[in-house]
Amino acid sequence: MTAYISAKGLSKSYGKFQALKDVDLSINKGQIVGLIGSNGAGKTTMINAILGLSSYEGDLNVLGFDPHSQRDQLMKEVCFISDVATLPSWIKVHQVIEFVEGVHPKFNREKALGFLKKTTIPMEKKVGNLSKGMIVQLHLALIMAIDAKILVLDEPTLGLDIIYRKTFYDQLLEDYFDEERTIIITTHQVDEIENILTDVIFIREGRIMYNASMEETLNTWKVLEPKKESIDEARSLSPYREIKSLGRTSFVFKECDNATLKELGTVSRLSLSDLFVTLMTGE
Amino acid sequence: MFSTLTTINGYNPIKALFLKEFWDNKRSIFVTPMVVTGLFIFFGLVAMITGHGMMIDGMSMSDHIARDPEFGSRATEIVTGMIMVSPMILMITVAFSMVFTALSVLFDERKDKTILFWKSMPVSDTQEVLVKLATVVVVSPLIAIGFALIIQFAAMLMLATMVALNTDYSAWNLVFSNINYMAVLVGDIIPTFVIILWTLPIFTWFMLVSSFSRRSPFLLAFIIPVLIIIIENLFFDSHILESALQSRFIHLETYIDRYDVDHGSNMVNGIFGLLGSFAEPSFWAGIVVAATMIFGCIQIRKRNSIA
Repeated sequence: MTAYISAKGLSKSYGKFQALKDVDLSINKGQIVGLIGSNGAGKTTMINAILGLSSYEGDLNVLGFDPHSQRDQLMKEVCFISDVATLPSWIKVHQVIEFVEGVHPKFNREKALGFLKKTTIPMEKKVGNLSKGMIVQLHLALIMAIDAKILVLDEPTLGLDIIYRKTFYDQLLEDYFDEERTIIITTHQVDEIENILTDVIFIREGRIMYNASMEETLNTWKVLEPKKESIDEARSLSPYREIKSLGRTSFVFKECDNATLKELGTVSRLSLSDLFVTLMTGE
Repeated sequence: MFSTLTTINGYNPIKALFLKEFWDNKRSIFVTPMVVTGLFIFFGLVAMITGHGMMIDGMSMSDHIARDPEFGSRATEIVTGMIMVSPMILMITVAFSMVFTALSVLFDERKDKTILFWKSMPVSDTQEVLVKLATVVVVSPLIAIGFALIIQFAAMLMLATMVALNTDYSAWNLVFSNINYMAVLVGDIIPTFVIILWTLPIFTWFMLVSSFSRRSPFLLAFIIPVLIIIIENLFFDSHILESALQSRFIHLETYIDRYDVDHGSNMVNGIFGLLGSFAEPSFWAGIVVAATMIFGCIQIRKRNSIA
């Protein structure tokens, strides 16, 4: 596997506050990685370092570049949409297309126009006069028309209504993603993306708490909703966590034989958000 | 021609960056001088219709001709001078809008967070900052000179019309043949850029403040030097910054005087005389200071993302 991003001992401090603590990380070609953490956990700090937007300590290599000193070259291969709407409100739709065509050697205008044709975005309007949903569609159209290796999405669907959010990810998978590209997504709406991820990283207080493929995650973590008479038996198998809600008890198991669990009740996969809560509150 | 200048076809980062700055700052670098030009022509026409003649030294043209028997020998100087100074208000306005543009070019993008979009594109901070500088000190004045020429053309026509209507002289003899067109053109370009080069440390200071200021770059840009000057005066009894600032303007005055004296057929040479000010060491000291400020802007933009 080709590592697109590799970090060793990556740290970043703001004064006395250590936003990233000695992070080791490797993200490979063809992955869709969910970077998940609470506010202030260090997600954006990590992404800013990868994108060359801030300085850092430690080793960081993105596609063979040192992001901070070689950001301009790196950006030929890396695209990002950050958590805030960053398209300038004064720019007209056709102007922003021209601009990206002018500064980006890997931008394909026809492709962008093709994506925009499917929307109702008018070319003569200023970005400031578009709805939030349209702005994100426009930004996505621009970025999908760039033949880049890494796409970083930092809370891309924040503030969007549910229909836009759904089509956003659908479009990304259908029209953009292939095994030559890597996508990194941070979001609060974990459930929305867990079906498209290949890998997941949990981050807390500047450290990586969990880093595994979705396949491994699904095989390792299970939820058991036991029959009433089997509750004690289930409890004796030393579950990772016990959840009581609405008068029902369920257990989270880590690395437990599926057949054994099935005898005691209904076994289902653990959702990413539940896994997140389990890991963040469990220890 | 204009459309090839304003459209992008294919990869051309420097042109794209310049266009972006133009779109972004259109109001201050294009609309403002356009409005001033429109107002000048409008009020010029109003003045013509209501009969208020154009005044030179407090006298109307006809009075000059009537009172001054030697008007003939000074006619070129007077008429050309009138045409030359006609865009004065425009140029002062543009100087102010250049100050405001310099104060906002590296601040607004951080405030509205669009810097994150610009930084997602493969252009370096050096390119961005240099294009911003050139927008303020080259593009903006060039556009202003374009409007100045429109004003001067209009002033010439209005002057000729007034002469034709109100005096017994022919507009051709008195106005058109008495204008040193070369001097007008050179007089628009040379002094503008000589002044800009001399004051470059000030403009780049404004850009530097706009690159690091968190709130109001305007206030900071003026408070910091004022404080330094006061502290220098009170505690160290020195005037380094004060005299450095004064040198930006006082030196120029002497050169401008020189070309005023050197009038007549040598008007163009007189204007070129301003270039002699580049021989002064303090001019180059200013360029070094300006280069340092720009270097600072680039380093700060590399590190800063959001205000």
